[in-house]
Amino acid sequence: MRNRFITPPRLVFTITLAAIALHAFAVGHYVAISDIPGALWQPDPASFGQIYVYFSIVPRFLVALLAGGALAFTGVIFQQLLKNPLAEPSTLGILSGAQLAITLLSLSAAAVTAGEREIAGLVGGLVAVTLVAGLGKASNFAPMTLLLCGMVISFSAGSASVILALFHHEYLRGVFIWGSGSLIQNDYSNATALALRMIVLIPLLLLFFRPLSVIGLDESRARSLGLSPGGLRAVVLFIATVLSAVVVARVGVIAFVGLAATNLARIVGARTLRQRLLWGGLLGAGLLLLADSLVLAGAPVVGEVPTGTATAIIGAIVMLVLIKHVPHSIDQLNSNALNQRENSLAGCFLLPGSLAIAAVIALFSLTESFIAGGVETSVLFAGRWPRVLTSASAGAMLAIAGSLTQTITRNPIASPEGLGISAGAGLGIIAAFFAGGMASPILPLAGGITGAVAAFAIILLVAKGKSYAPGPVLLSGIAISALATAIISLIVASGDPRASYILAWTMGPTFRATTFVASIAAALVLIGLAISPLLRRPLEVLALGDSTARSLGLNPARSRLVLLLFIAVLTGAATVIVGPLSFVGMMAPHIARAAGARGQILTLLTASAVGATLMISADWLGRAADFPYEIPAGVIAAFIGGPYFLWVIRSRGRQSPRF
Amino acid sequence: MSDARYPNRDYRLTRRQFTAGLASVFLPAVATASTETRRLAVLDWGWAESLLALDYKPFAVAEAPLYGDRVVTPALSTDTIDLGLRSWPNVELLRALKPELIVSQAGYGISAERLGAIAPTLALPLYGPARQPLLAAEHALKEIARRIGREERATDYLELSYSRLDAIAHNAKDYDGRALLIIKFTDDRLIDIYGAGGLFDDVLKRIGIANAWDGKTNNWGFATAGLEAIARYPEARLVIIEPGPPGLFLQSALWNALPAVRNGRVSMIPPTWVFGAFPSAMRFAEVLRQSLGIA
Amino acid sequence: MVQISEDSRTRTISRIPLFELERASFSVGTRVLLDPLTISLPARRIIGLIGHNGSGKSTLIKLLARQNPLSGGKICFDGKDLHEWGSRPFARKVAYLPQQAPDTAGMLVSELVALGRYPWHGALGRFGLEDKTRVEEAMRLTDVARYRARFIDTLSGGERQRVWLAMLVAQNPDCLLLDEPTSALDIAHQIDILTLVCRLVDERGLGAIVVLHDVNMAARFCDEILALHCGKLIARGGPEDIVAPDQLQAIYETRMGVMRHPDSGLPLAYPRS
Repeated sequence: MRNRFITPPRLVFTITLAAIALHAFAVGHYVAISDIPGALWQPDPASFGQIYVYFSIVPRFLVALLAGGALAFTGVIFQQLLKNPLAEPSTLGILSGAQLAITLLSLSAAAVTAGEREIAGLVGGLVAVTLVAGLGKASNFAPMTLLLCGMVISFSAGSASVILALFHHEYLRGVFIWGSGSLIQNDYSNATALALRMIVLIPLLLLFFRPLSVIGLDESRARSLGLSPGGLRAVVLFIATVLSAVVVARVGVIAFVGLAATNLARIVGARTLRQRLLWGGLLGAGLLLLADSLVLAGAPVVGEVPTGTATAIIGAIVMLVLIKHVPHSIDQLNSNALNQRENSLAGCFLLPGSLAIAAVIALFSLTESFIAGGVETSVLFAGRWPRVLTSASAGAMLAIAGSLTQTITRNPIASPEGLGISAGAGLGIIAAFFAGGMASPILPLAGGITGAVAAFAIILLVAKGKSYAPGPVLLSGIAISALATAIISLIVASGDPRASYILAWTMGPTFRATTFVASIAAALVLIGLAISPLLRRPLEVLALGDSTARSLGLNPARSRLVLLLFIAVLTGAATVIVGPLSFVGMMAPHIARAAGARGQILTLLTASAVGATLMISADWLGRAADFPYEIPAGVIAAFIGGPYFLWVIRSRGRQSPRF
Repeated sequence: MSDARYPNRDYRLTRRQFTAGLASVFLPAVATASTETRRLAVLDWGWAESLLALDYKPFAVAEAPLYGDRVVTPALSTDTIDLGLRSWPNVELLRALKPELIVSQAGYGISAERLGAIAPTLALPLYGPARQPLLAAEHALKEIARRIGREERATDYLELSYSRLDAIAHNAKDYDGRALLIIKFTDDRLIDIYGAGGLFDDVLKRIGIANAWDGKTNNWGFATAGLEAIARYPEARLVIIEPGPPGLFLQSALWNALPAVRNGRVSMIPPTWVFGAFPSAMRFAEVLRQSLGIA
Repeated sequence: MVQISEDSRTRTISRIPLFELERASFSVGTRVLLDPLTISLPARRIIGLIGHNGSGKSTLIKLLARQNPLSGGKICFDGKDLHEWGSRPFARKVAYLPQQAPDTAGMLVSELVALGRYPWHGALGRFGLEDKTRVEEAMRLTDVARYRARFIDTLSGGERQRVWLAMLVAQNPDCLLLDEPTSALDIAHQIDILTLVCRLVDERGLGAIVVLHDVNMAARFCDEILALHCGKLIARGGPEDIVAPDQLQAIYETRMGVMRHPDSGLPLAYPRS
């Protein structure tokens, strides 16, 4: 896609010009035009306007340029290193890891200096990137694996941050403001710190320029050229992560700038590594400046919007658009053979066995009285059965959706949460609250399902051109999820007293289930279970690939569409109950298969029993762990699911090099 | 078992306390004139403090340990049972405790219908379309008093409070008459500014001091903005709710360039619960009076 | 018109053409992969498609199989425009084997062959006696019956290809479209598979269009050969006509010589440069 008219220099110039114009407009509120030069050079101490321009707006301008440039620069490096056009600090989970670390730091100490924040952010970012790179290496850096890992880490770290916010949101409001990526400055300290670090780190990275160009080739070729790819990767990853973490610690979570800038640069003609580093970096600086100038100019009208939220929203849209231009190589999702046991004897006992386990755990949860001793069992039961039934239903729904997702994406670790439908449901729930208040429980239910359907429609729009192939669908999921995360940060940062109530709703408060909700959930599961066996043949045929499916007379696109719709409804309903982050949809089918289930339908049914068990357990844990404070079940499931997912990727990667 | 959340308290719902609370269910109902033994579960701090103002001890309050840090006075006794989050208390615990009355804030947290299934519920609004939380707090106080049979107490309390407010209003005439900007720092860059629709604003109206902030406020009566918002009201006096900005910030050029700071028109007041009810309003009036140097 | 070939195969040829192409072409963006082609492909014979890499042979067979949509022109199968065929009716007539064998994780041989009946019973139909019979027959014909309870990924390459062919046979089509069914196999298995295809064509009266990269295999097994070059059809004829030095030079852009096979007398090509 080469458009001769739009070249990188012209693009950078236009964007920067627009940004400067908006800045001038914003500055005009504080200082008369004629005074601007004076304000920029030597502000009159008596005029607050001039002081403000000098001490707040100018540093903010500089910080936007520096941070945007650094994020884009590291984005190019990550993309080159990991051979993945969508790699950047946010998609690799570095930003979430840094945020979690800084959140934990803020909890343990009253006042935190910027330097301490940097160190914490660095630690968090390094942990995240080590996990992602380590797991990616095991599967030979398959692009989708990296993105999935990054997404899982973002989810897990994000859910940890959110759960901290649930109970400490008054302490953590400051952290969430930072987490939303506000670029407001009070002095030049951040600008100077950033500049100093960039002066050191960027030339350091450029030292590796030549080896980096070579690493675009595969491992064996690189080695035959005399390079040690493993060591090189480690060093460069480390330095690039340091730079990203430093930016994040000073400025907050600014997602997608790297992604947008680097891909935009590529689209308008920057091809070689050198061109991408140069123009990508400049575009990044310009784009962040533009985003910030929009926020600045809009503040008197719209109020304070953190720039990070703006970039997340714009970036998510950009990413959804970019999916159409992602090269096909990213679509290579080779799933390797699953661990199959030769004897299917286990299969006979598997389904009844898993159902029995589910029943036992349900009974336990319904009647246990460790904490609330001395209350009659029947009273306990009466109070608890809605939440237990709801949890079980949601778990089963997610498990069904997960089995189907894994089949149609032909990826054994795909998850319906990755489809972005659950994130869309979360957004719908939030929207419902701001629209209707806490009036009735029907509202969030309706909002959630609407949100899920809307996200589904977006996926349709974006992935239609690629006949709903797995790659684009997962990518749009990442984009929508990032959007949801940004908005949640915004809510907590706003200090709205409803924040914790709303936050909990998006996390899956099974404890809020009423008998009405429980009945609906159970009905949906039963319908889902009844429909599933009818899907067996299309699923089996689809599993053989598009060509074979077409040859057998099945229209792959249409079949996937119908299946996606089914998945969307189930996921949407389940999300309203257990929130978007539970990973049960990934875990349950995987556990079922690991236990020996074979064949589409047996796996699906076993998985629903497993999923129900997981959610019932999570619900119980949420109740018992911090009595009387309730931890939403979805979050607990995510705590288990995230590491489990990562462990699965690791062990799969070890088994076979191809992923 | 101490908890980082509640640095001032060493608290946890122990089995002992729980069973003690539970046991009281089975205590024979003491038929006395004083209704001290009525078991009240309170889900909102504003109503908890209202009860305390009526000399009545609620036996269970949501997020009881945190109350001491945020609301401070009137003080809650240490053996108050913790009901869980204010936005969603533990329903099972509520059910087990079998309270005689549940007091909640209408439109927040668990709906009144659901609570009604557990025990008789009094859901009182604080933030309604009228946007007058002080008035709502007054109505609520009266209603609570009626329910627990302390109407006289309430009447006395309100009379006292209003005459106190009038006294402050009278003395405030000696105050230099500047409008106030009441702010709280969320971090060193963003501030909450309290305006129309909030408790503090109602108090200001009552004591006749102007609130400088005329911008939009949200449902709870505050707005969040950067420092430049303060600069729009150069003549106003700044009232900062502790803790203020970090020391480093107080020395910065930006802070000192603010007209209010330059001319020394800054006052600090100790933490006051802005989302509270009548007692919080009175506390605010007192600390404000003190810090402004009004008699 | 009856063609008699060197070995004892005789085959009658139906008069109704299987596929009729009329200026059928395919392009991606500005790249033309197949120039407008007008041709008629008869039924009940084995037609080989040969050509250099990127000559358009895979493209052509995918167009016939309705895997890719036409960019221009039209194709008729059995007298009816491809567009007018429903998915399953067409699948009951034409079976396609793609070049990349898809992943068959955890599938038994019998299960895969049974899937070949999908165009007949569909998503919800019963798997009846007729279906069972066809599956058994297919497995017998392709000699994979003894593997029926094995996982496909435990079989060798040659055995796997036979299983795929069994699935296609179970589909009970009138025509087989095979895209390079032998490229990943050793010579013994190549011969094995192509012999099987011959047998199927003989015993069941199928038509087969096979993309082959080895011209000698094409000469040995095909009744007719179509040669493509840069998206255009440059030669069409029997093995004798195609396997000639000047033709081969034009097709593969390489100097080739031709000799006679000592046993069968069929033409054999060898590179000369």
